[in-house]
Amino acid sequence: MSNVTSTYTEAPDHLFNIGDEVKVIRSNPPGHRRTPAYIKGNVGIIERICGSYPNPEELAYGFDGLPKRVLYRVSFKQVDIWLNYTGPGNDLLEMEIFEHWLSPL
Amino acid sequence: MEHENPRMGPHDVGGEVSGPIDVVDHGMSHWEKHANALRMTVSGLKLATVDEMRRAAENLGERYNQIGYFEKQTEALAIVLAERGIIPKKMLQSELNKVRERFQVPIIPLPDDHDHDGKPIQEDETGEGPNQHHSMNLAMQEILESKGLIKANQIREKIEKFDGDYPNRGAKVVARAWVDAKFKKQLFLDANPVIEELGIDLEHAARIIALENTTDVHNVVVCTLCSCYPRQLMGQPPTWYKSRSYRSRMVYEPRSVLKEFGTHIPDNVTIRTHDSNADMRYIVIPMRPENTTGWTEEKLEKIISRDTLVGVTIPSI
Repeated sequence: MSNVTSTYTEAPDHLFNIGDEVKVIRSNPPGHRRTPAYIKGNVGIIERICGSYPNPEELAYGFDGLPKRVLYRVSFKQVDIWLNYTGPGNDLLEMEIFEHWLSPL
Repeated sequence: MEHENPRMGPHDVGGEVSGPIDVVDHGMSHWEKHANALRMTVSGLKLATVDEMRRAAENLGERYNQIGYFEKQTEALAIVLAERGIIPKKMLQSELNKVRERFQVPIIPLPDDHDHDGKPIQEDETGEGPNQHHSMNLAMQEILESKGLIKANQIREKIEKFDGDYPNRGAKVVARAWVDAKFKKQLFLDANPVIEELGIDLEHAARIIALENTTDVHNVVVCTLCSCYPRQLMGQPPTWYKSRSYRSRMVYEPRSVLKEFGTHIPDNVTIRTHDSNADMRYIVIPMRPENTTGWTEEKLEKIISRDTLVGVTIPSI
């Protein structure tokens, strides 16, 4: 499988690296957004860099979504998200979040 | 579960307290398959983007909770095609009237010697014309065809792929991963190319991320905002995956939700819940059950159900 080319897209200017701690921005602008309310304000760790993709917030209104935005997968501890989480402390929640929704810690 | 942030809209349900999940997949009726195929064809041709249609559905307000999944998708498609000037509202209304007229057929009186258990012959098996949303989809399809933007056989082929082809692909990937360590390693590094090497055409749909279940980790997938799902790999998502209760609860009480599916994950196993809501699509690669040594891929595929690929159940023999 040496001839396999990755379909991960390029993200040459990514602000965060794998393992970095990040905080999800707590903001509520109107319009189409892809960052669920329950995760805003939470701190997690960059699990991987997915590449760069057109901004869905602009695609949603018929624009081209350019320039592309860097998309990450962020890993959160469930006990950090939910005050009353009943499962073990190791349980994780992971989701994709665009760079403009993350701030460094 | 409480959190202090205002929801973005009626679709933003992750964390809501909700009722038990109906874990039976109720499948799709013909009109729903048609609605789905039309939407997928239109977005595949970039006549409208999924993001625009999501936004249109989210903006339905209270109506978002009052109508069904495919009804919402139908109305969102109509809204976006109108916005883009491809099907102005008046044009849709006029075509809709024609569709309805076509189904206003008289009941044919039967000759005395011709008996259909006493029932009259009618155009449709239920004795009714197409429902409101199916009529809208038929009208949209006809206009798009008359403009030369789509062909009828594209819709038919899409329905057939969703019925026959897409739902069987995920099990092939897992079975190969179980018997071929090199394939498995590559699958976790970068799934799309090795899946395509199996002869599976992912149609440039999205990036696939394969998630490995181990003795220490169990993965499960949900989309709290809508119904993101690797359709070209696993077919149409089951009805429970799109349900409000699954989308609300899986992110804060995965263990309770899994129990409703009959799956008990011990506390020493970490549950990784993946809220799939952007550009990646996920497939869970379950652990190969014991006592399957020497099984062929074909035999292994039979124990890999769709639910195991979402992570709500685990394969057993």
